[in-house]
Amino acid sequence: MSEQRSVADKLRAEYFDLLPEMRRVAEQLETVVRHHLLAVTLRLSTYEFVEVATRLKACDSAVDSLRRREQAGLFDEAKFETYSLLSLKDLVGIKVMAFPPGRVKDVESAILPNFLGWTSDPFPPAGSGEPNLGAKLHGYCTASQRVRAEIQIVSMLAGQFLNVEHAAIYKPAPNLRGAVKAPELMEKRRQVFVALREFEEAFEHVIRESTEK
Amino acid sequence: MNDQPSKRQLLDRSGYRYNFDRMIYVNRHAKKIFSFEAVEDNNVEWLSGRVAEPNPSNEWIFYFNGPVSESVRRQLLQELQ
Repeated sequence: MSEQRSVADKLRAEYFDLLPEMRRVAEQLETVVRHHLLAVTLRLSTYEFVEVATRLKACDSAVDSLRRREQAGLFDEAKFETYSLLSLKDLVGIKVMAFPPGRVKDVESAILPNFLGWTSDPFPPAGSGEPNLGAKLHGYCTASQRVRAEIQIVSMLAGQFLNVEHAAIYKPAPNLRGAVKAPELMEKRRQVFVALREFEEAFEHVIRESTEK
Repeated sequence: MNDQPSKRQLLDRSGYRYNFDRMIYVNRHAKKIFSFEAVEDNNVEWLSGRVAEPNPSNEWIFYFNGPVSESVRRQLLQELQ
């Protein structure tokens, strides 16, 4: 008995075909990013830090990302052949988080000129109403001309909030990404980012004042 | 200007419920479905006009940014049954 494969089945198979390439991209990109960051990290004061985190998008998360782009979050089985995980911009992701916020600018200056061929997206996406969080780049490295990667540069607290939000809410229940689009939640989320930024800026101000005295 | 809250109020007042799983606004009585993107990309006047549009047929009306494929329509209606 043969049963036709669903779009999700096809994408899961594609994921495991791409996985070795994704690993190579992650390894190359993390090494390159850390190399360019040396100019910043070797000059950090004791209270400053820069963290680099690398992740490969998980299989279910990759399939779900593609699904959520579709009308009503449903695959059109009639377009079975047209779906591919290669259309995702972030199969591999590098997140660079810096503290205090002044160091985010230094990280951007160290990284961005070395990725001129990459596409820069507003971060967060335009129209979200959230304050600017940093920089987001997408592109290919020499390890693969198929697997696209993403580099995020973000302040430490905003980056950690995004991590917690992902781990606590979206990873166990990816469909909740639609809930956060409700205007009342979007406003609360904007307030979180504004508060975190103000806290970081105040923190930086206090540290600078005390170290200059 | 962000008129999303007023569009949301209009939908609430008109009996639409947000289905976050599918990112759609549904009114089972009027048999109408708006996609989140269609609501976001069009202005209040457009939305108000579509909400007020009569639906004399017994068929569901989909207000999406593009044509809704038969497969998506079928899966969506199955979930709404």
